[in-house]
Amino acid sequence: MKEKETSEKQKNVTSHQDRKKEKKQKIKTKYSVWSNILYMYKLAYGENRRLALYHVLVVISGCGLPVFGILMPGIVLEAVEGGEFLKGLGIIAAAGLVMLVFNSVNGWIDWSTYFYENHFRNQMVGNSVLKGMKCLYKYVEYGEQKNITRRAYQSLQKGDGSVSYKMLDIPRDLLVNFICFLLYSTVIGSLNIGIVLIMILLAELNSGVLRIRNRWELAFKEEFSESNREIRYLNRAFEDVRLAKDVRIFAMNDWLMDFREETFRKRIKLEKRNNRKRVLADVLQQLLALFQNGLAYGYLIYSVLQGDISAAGFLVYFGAISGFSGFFKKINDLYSALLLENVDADFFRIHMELAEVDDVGEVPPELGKEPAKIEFRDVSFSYGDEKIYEHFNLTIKPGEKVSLLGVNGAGKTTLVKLLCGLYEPDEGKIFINDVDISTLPKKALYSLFSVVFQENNILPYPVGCNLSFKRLRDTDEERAWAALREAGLEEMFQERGIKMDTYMENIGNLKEGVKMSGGQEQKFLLARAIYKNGNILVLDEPTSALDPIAESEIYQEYVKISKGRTSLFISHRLASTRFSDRILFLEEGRIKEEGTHEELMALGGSYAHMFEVQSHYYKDSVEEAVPC
Amino acid sequence: MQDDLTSKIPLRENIKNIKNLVSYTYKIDRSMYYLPVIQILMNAIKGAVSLVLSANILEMLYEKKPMEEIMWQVAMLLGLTFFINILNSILQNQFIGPGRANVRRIYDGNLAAKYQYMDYSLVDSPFVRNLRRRIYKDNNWGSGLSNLFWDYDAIVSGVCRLICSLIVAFPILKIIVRSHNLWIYAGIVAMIIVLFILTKIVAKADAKYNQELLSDYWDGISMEDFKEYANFGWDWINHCISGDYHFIKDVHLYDGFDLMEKYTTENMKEGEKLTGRIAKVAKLSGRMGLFQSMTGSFMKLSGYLISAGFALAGAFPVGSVIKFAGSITNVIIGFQGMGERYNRISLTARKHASTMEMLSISDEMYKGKLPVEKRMDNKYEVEFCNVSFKYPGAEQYALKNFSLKLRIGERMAIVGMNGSGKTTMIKLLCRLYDPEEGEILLNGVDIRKFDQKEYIKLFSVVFQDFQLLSMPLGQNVACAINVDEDLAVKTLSQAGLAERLTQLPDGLDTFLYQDIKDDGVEISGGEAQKISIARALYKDAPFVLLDEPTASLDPLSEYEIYSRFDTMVKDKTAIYISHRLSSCRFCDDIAVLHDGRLVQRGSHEELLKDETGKYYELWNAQAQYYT
Repeated sequence: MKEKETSEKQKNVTSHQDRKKEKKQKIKTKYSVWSNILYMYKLAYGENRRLALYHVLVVISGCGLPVFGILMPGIVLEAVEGGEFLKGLGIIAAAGLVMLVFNSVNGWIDWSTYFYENHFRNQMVGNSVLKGMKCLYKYVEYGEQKNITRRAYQSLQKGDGSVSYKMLDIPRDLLVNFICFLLYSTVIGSLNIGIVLIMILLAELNSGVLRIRNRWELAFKEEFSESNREIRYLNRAFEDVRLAKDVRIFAMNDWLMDFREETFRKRIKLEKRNNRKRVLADVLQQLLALFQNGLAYGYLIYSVLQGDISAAGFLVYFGAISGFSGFFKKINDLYSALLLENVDADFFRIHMELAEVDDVGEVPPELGKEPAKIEFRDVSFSYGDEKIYEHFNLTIKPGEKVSLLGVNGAGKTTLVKLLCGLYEPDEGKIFINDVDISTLPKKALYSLFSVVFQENNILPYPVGCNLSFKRLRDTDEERAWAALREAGLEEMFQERGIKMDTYMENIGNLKEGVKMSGGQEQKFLLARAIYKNGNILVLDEPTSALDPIAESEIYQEYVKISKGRTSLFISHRLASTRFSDRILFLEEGRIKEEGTHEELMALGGSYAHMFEVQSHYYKDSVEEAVPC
Repeated sequence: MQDDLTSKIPLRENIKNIKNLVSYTYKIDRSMYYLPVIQILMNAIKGAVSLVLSANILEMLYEKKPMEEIMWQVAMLLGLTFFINILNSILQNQFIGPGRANVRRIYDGNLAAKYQYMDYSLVDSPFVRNLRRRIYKDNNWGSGLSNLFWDYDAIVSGVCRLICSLIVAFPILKIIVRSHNLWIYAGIVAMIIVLFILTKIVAKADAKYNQELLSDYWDGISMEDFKEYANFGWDWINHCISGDYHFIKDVHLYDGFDLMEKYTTENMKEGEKLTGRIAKVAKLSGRMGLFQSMTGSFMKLSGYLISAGFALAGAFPVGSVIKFAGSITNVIIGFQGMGERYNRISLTARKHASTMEMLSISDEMYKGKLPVEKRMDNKYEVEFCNVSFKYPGAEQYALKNFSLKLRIGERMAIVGMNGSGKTTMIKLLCRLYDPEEGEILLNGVDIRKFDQKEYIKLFSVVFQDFQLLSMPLGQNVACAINVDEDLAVKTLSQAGLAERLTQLPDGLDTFLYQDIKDDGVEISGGEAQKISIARALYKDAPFVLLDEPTASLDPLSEYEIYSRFDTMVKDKTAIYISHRLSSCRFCDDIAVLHDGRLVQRGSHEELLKDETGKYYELWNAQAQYYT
């Protein structure tokens, strides 16, 4: 509170101009520009130490180039004025050779740097993706951090405009321009310090025009980003193979095309409207340039006619004056570009500095007790504003097989994620074998579970890696085959000659990729769970896309492997409840009914109703059934 | 061997590539080829006139002309620059900029749209997939279509500048030619030779750099190394970065962090070490930059030396030295750059050749022209006659000698295990694919003979993996920009969304999901399902096909949809596919498919009597848990 008050006061004290500045810099970042530049440079040099040397050379040769640019004409003119043929040409050739060497070195270093910096982007893409996997899971799936991560990824996907490139490039450019600016100021200042001041004033006016233009354009920013979003989405939809069937049945391609035409038409109009401001700004800038050049010409011509400077000097000074305002403008531009880039840099850095899943901390020995006991004590959890669980309590006895049921959106998967520690409760505690899981290092907690989720997360890696989630050399081959056997896949794998190092997808010239049906994929995921041999088994709707026979097979596997373990089974198919010790019927974050199948049927509540609905057609005659 | 961009191709193909690309973009907006010529010509004139006027000023300074007279020249110079710059800004900002951006959008957009405008059977075919990968690879470096504009501008401005510079440099060129001085001739020849060599070196360095940059860098690496270190190019990382996070929870729970490290950063590093590619390309990149800059400086220096030499020899006054130096340099650059510009536009055109190939894919399926008879009574009869079909590239038949006659106005259920050919049947019926053998008849006529656009109007399908778009709800139902609002509201209500519709902030105009609009609504799987059903109803087709539409729904929603749908389809012919055999039970006619064949057909009671039949097996696999 106190901080707020003082800042409020300060705001009142600040002058009108300052407030304007604050308005302009709406973008707030966690770290300052300079801190982020330092961060990025550290990362870059960490990846590639040679880059530091390259940067020094780029700055030196970069400063040299413009100097030659203005000196050369003067030198040539001076040499010609001298009138001696050989000496004159000699001077020009000598100066030219120095220029040539500088230029060549600059070209060499510049292009090498460009490539290394681009490669640095690739490295950062790899690192940030890896970070996205290693960070605590609560950052991955929901909340504000998900957006930050998305922005961090986007900031690296802009080719040469990517943050990793820009944050190295802009500060370096800024330095070069600043040094050149100082050099040129000295040159002009040696002639007349007043000219320097007038030129700075004009350049400042010029930047003023630019700032105004940017403010004008800011008004269109919203429309532009909306239009970009539409275009990006349309292209994505068009390219989406999954849409192809529906598109052809419902002639959706024509619909998308009509929508696109509309979007493009609006876009052109928007650009023209936006650019009208640019033309206006250009006119103002050209007027300033007209004035500046007129003044420069007038003053220098006057000086030459007065005999203060030579004709060669005229060329040099004139070059200096036109170059000078260019540098000033460039510094301004670069600085605002840097501020803009810093927003992306911030996203990137916040993402890269996310806390990772850890391995340190004390693990009480009773945690590993088999089979495990689970207890939810007064747990509350919400996604943003949406409350999923409020003061939720549940105890699962060691070795108990529990079925979780409920309509879509009842919070079944959330419960699993809370239990595994992927999500963290807002309030309350979860205990496994009477150990509070929030006190555990994540890896120790994760090691307790064998989980099969709804999505088929088979990765484009070798079979062995997919089973063990470890490198091939860390995969226990015997155990892997045993797991496949238990899941009923061994025969199929052997028949097809699939080995542990066979890839799951066709890559490069390898055409060995393993293709499996939906049922086989589910069994494969089960084999993964078996391989891990976790203390607690969780299956989250593993059968929804399977035919009756494959479904039935999975149930049988489940019965086999859940023996002697605490297990949770989530399914829409109520048949799965038949081999559970206890059924939990969830509704709106509460356990509405619980008990065995028989008990719940006798209760005649929601479960019984659901079971009736699903089973009534399986009864011997339809008349017997009770539709709702 | 993959077609890569670095191999040599004959001149004719080069020209063809350029012609294809230019004519395609020319058709989109021809003014984008005319207007820039005006702009570039203006700028070339500005450059030449500035050179002349600046030289005049310098000369007048040497001659100590009165201030007033010199300032006239200054005024002319500044006035012209001002005028042309303003014109330039208007042309660029109001016409060329937005126009070219639009051409680029249309070009990129057409490529994306092509996937939905080709035969369905082609979309996921190996040919198109390969082409797609090639397009991706070809455009991995560079700036897309912008490159074409830059190259075009470079050629036009090269020519314009060359002409203008020749005019300005004419006096000194005349002097050189008429000098009849062997030393001068020898000097010029020497300069040309040096320049020629330098140009060759640059071209070679450039080609080598591009070759290394664009080549498949796993070439020449042993299979074992490839298997160990391949990180799937960038496909996999791009997949992760595009926002798929679902697999991450598995990574956490199965402690796969170390494995992930291998397949993201580590393989990249190891792969680079193995191929030595990064260091190699960086070296080549640096070398190219070195020679490019050297050549540029050499040309500038040559201009200075020639011009200064003649001035020192007294051929023209000192004041013109800079003018002639500038114009000579421009003439040299103009000639020297020609080859480079041709190379550059060739490369651009070649990078886009894969895109042009994609855009010019024509449909493979025979498309008849026969109009479909419009019948108010919906009396359409469909029959599969001995149809066999296998998916492109597959070895096994998805359907084999399949015959089936659909009874008009009835509900039919199709059951069978995964992979038994149920969905394939639907796809053939909608002509997403054509049968290999046999034919499908509509009222006795082979469906290939019908106009496809009309034919497809007979079918409404809700696929298992139906898709909705992040567009307004009403448009999602109508599948068009123009929505018949009454019908949309009616069908949505029929599908059970009447109440939800009233809660939506903008009614039918509410956007679904948040891809386009932040205030779009998130909808549940059940709601999406209902919208897809409303979409099928809105189309009002005589055939309604439901392909396992309820797999991810809870039992209550599932029941709701099935019981509703029966009343909604009324007199239409409906086909249901479901794994939940219970939901097929109200159909009088059940077809059982197994391994691509029709093995049983009849009512539930009839089929269940055959205890050795597939239906009995399927039924009992499920029913055992419910009795």
